[in-house]
Amino acid sequence: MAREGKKRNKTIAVVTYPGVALLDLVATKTVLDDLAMTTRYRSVSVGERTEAIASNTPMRIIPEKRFEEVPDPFALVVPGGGIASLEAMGNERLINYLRFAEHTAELVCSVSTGSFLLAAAGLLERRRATTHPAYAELLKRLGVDYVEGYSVEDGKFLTMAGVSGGIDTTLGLVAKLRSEGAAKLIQTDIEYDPQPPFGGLDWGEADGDRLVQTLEEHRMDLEQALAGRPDLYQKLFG
Amino acid sequence: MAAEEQGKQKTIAFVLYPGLTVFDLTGPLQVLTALSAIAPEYRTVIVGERVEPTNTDIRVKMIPTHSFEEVPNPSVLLVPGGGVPTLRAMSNEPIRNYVRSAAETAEVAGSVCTGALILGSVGLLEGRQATTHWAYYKILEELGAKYVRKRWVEDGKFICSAGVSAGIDMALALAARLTDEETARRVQRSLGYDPHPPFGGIDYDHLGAISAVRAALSLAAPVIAARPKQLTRQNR
Repeated sequence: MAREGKKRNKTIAVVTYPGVALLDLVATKTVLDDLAMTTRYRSVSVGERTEAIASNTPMRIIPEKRFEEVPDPFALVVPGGGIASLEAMGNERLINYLRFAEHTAELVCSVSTGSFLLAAAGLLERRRATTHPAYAELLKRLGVDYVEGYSVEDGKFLTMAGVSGGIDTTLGLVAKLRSEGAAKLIQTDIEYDPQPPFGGLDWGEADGDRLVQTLEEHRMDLEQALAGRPDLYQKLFG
Repeated sequence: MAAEEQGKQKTIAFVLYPGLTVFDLTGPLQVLTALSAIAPEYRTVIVGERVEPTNTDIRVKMIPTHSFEEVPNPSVLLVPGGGVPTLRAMSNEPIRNYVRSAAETAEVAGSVCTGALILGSVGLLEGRQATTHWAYYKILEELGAKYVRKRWVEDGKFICSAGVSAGIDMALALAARLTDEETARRVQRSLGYDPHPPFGGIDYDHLGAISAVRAALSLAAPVIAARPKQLTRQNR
């Protein structure tokens, strides 16, 4: 993407919600902040309120800005959160924010199960998109054209499987926004030269039954969380 | 769960301090929290001087779960790093006192990135093999450690990882050490950690212009290490 001529910062809003995956949020924002050192891209975490919310670890976090304070970001990034993402589909203010901000955003991204929130906002209808491999079947139930892959692009929508906290794909995004050289510099700074002690993963082993089981375990929570969106609840549980 | 009763669980404590590189903390926290879901004899906590919102390098404030006093004897202590705020933390008495005393009784004391400089600043890495972010190695040597350029380095109860994202790899190795390899693999699967850097790995022998950062930090290393060393000597 070419750099704009006028000297205005380009805001990248990173969306937070209760139970958000901390690594998705932190890894994405760290990479984007590194990009900010040499460009006009500025990442900002947004949430319903600038008050403490839970993450998917014992650490609680406080987003920098309220949704209303960042109405027209250049880009939107929605991190994952597993079941918490599914529950957040029932969060009306969050979904309304995504719908509103999408109008002017030039780029709309999700990491892992963040794609469910884009789907809940109706933004992925008839679009090709991806999510965490374990949630593929579920995303299809919401009418999304699921594509297997590390990252899938359809128009201004970039959905990432969120493997490894989205580090790989966020570096890819930096290369797209700026250059491959910039991405490599950030990679060196965060010393991303991975050596998993037991090697990589064999995704062929992905366990669909486990997701069904997890869904059943959270059925009550989801029923409550999605009380205002019976359409989504119906699609998820059929 | 019976193991959740106080006293039976082993505590893995992460140190949070203002301005840290929160990715350093988050990688291992995410890994070891996933471990605690599979092996409930472990629990993860985040400790700080006070239980209050603490600023981080990415401006998202984070809140520790406990104060230093509330978790005096964790089984595992992990110290994350950062830039200038970490160099400042090396002379901060409450942080130094906590790291020194908690590391003494812990079964494992570890660091991510420049967190090793905090361990080193209270004399814990003297004569030991250790590692840190590639740009800061000279300061680590100045604090008496033997720098090894590896993803992570173990020496006795100490385990140190290289910069930022290296903490994820180290935490998986640590998960295997605390339980077994099979459990660590399950943790990796549950996290979906299957890294494929889009432009390959890092060529440490050809860092280009960015190596100027390392040169500058190396020149300043004796000055940066002087005050923490002096504080440590006074303490003995």
